[in-house]
Amino acid sequence: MKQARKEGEFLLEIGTEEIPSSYLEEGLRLLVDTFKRLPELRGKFDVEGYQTPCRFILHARGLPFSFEKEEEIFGPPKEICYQSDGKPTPALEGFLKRHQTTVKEIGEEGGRIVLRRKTVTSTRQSLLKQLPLLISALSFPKLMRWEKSGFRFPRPIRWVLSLYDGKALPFSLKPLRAGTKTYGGGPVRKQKMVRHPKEYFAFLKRSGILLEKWIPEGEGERRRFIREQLEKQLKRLGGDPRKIDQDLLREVTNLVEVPLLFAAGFDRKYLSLPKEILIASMAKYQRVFSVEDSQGRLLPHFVACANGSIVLAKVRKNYEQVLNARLEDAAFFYAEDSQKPFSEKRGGLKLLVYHQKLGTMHDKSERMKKLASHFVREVRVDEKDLLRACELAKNDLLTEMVKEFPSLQGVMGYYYAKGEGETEGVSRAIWEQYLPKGSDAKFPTTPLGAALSFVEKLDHLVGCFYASEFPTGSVDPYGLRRAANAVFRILLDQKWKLSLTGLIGPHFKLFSSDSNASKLQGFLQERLKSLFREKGFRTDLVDAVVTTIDEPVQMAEKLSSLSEMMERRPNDFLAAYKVIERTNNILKPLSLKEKREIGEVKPDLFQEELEKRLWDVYNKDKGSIQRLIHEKAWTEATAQYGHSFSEILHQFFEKVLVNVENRPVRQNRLVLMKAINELYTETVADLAKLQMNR
Amino acid sequence: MNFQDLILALNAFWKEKGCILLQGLDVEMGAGTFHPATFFKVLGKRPWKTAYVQPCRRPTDGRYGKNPFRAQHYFQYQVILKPSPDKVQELYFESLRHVGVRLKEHDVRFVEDDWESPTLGAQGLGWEVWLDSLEVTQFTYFQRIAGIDLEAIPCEITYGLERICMFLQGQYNLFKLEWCPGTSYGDLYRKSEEECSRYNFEQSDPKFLLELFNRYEGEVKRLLKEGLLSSAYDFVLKMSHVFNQLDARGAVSQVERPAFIGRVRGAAKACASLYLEREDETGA
Repeated sequence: MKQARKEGEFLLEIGTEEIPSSYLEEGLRLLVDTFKRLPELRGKFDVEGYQTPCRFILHARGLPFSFEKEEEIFGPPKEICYQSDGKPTPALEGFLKRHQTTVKEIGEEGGRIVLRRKTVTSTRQSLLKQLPLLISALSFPKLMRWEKSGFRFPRPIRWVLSLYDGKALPFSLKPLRAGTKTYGGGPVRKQKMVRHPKEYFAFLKRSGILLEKWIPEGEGERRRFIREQLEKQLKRLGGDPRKIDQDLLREVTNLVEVPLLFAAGFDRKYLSLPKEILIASMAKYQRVFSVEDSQGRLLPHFVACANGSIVLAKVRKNYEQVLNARLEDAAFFYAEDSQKPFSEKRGGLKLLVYHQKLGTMHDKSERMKKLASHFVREVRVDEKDLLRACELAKNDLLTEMVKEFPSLQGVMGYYYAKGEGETEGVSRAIWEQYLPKGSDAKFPTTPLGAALSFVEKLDHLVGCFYASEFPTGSVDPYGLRRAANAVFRILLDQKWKLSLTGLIGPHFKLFSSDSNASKLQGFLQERLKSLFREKGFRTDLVDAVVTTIDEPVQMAEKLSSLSEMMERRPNDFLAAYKVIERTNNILKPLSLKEKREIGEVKPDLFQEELEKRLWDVYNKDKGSIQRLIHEKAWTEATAQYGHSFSEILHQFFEKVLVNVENRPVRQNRLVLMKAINELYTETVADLAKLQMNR
Repeated sequence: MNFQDLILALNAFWKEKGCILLQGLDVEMGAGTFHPATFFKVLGKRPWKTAYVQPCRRPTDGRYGKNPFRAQHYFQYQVILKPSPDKVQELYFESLRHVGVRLKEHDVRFVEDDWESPTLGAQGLGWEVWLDSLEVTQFTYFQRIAGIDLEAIPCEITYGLERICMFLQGQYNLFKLEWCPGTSYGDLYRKSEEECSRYNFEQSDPKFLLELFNRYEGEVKRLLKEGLLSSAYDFVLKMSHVFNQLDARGAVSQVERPAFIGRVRGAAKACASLYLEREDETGA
């Protein structure tokens, strides 16, 4: 494929009714990526993508006007192509005629006639053909039909603007034909004929429409405008711009074409409600930003982002009245909930199904209590408090407030429990049972909260594995990966020393079968490894250290000690590594059973001086190495191990053949190798899993 | 603009646009979609345009007449345009202007809200329409009704009459809206709101309601066998309403819920199938 000299500019605008805000970014990314990958257009050209809730825009510059393509057309077998006098047979003549070519142009390959030629196609022709396919192949979470052709898109397409090289590129999409018209913003759209991309972008600008360009992980013009205006308003009102809800900012950006920000207020009396209720009401009902000062106090203001040119005074007044009415609604719920005894709601949990195979929320809360009483011995929290927290943990699911705002689960439990005289500790734990939520979200701040969250999630994991609800690929409907990560992150954060295997086993017994217990252990081990990898530890070192799911805290210590050692004391580390690697290699041919039943070292079978010396070193240094390991002085233990064995083991392998004919002697040498290897690998890390480039 | 003038203005507007003006059905229902003029008429290929006011009942939304935004009884203004015209959004904006909304002065927003009715086996895509952050309309392109993919896609515009009135009157308390000069919405409906809330939440007899549900279901089956489609469908609506009453009373557990909904859906589907069979016979 060769590029021609001339270059063209292409502009596409797909004008739609309002596309769901969460589809815009991914939809645009797909459009740009698919366009870049059109096989005909390979080569150097620039593509930019832009969006608003009502437009997907693609702007390509430097497109070749035409491109050459090499074509290969196979014809009939050679033996039927020529008559005895060398003249073409009718079969060949037919082929030549069909492809408008002559005998001179053709060749042969593998006994068949072949025609190789270069064809030139114009970019215009190719775009006309490709664009309808490209647009109909875009994928979105949900598609709809709206007219008789049955064409599918997330919302109706109302116009398509398509310009190439200063002229219309009028391809046909099933519901309509691309033209040269575009429209302004707002409910009364101004129509405009466009001849050139420059004219188009100028028109949008004049209409106040801000485009969001597709930049991976970046911020486009519209989001930046909204963020800056929002920060300005917040500062003016005494709010802290660091508390901006980033998800809401993103959503609002994708709800407007012509953003206009303004500040407004609500009735002060609602400040007596828990601030989480106010924040959730503002975000859910109106998609407006709440205003918190740097001390975390909520102020009776909000910042809204309207769409289009408006009469500000009227719109502000309406927003304020709607919010006040909504908050009245919330106050009603809150008062209703507060009237009914919170602790008595527990009985109602028997009607609330948790999962078909796992019973009700009441069952879950009972299981959490059992798990808690096993686990409480291993962590430093008060057993009575933890059991009380388990008992009340799910009650808020039955409150009006949580039915209205599911995101406030836990938060409302805190307020209602506390209002009823529960201790701050127990109430706080009910709140914190859902933390951490995201990958870098807040952790439980109290050991009791951490314990409740841990119990809540471990029960979820065991239950879902019992019910065979495994995550597959990217599908994880029960959030098991998130739950497993949270379990480990809490464990590491709280520095709890405990055996997860020891907790999972008995918990499976609460269900009718523990046949998936080992599957869960494998899953958890993989999650633990990936968590450590995310923290930046090398993959092979993680594999060497994480061989179970017990004592993750100790694993974390080992990982940081060994990583640091590899960097600061590479020679010491390498010495230990070589000992492990060589002993491991010699033991490799043995099966697990053979290794297990290989027996003890018998000094009377030693034949070589070096064997005896190696055994002496083992006996002399074993104690101090084990002591260092016991003291969790991982670096020192590793250094000492390497120091003790590397030199003498090197000599040993030079002089002594392990795999000799004499079976008892051979066996005895292998036992010695095993003893040396396991002195370290059993308790620190199996360094043989490392891939060292020496 | 007061409440009754709003209804008159919408009627005048949609009459001009060629809609048949109907009245709401005299059987309890949760939304105008349940009206036979929507539920049946959107099936098949025949074009259909209608507009009507449907009183709606949602027992769980009762707030004893104390809540400014929510009530268990309210009014929807329902418009069905089948097939949906290309300029349907413009048409909707025109109707707002017609009732006195100055679009250029306000913040108009279409916020994604896909509609689903498990009891009707129905699903559509569309939006909530916000006027200065107040939800005033549900705007939906139906995709499927009674589990049947629709042949001609209808557009359903459901105006929340109370909400539009709030906006027009600048009065964000439902019961303080002016119905007509000298009479408020509350004068007409607050008392019954309080009573129905008490009935639905405290006084209804779940055993009796459950018996009704079962008997209504039996009637649907019996009447369909007799070919009495309209009467059978009345009982589907009654099933649905009784289920909502049971729900409000807290008498339906999460476990039983899907089964109840499935039974209503089954009955609705049977009615839709019979309707389509007849449409085929008449050659639509």
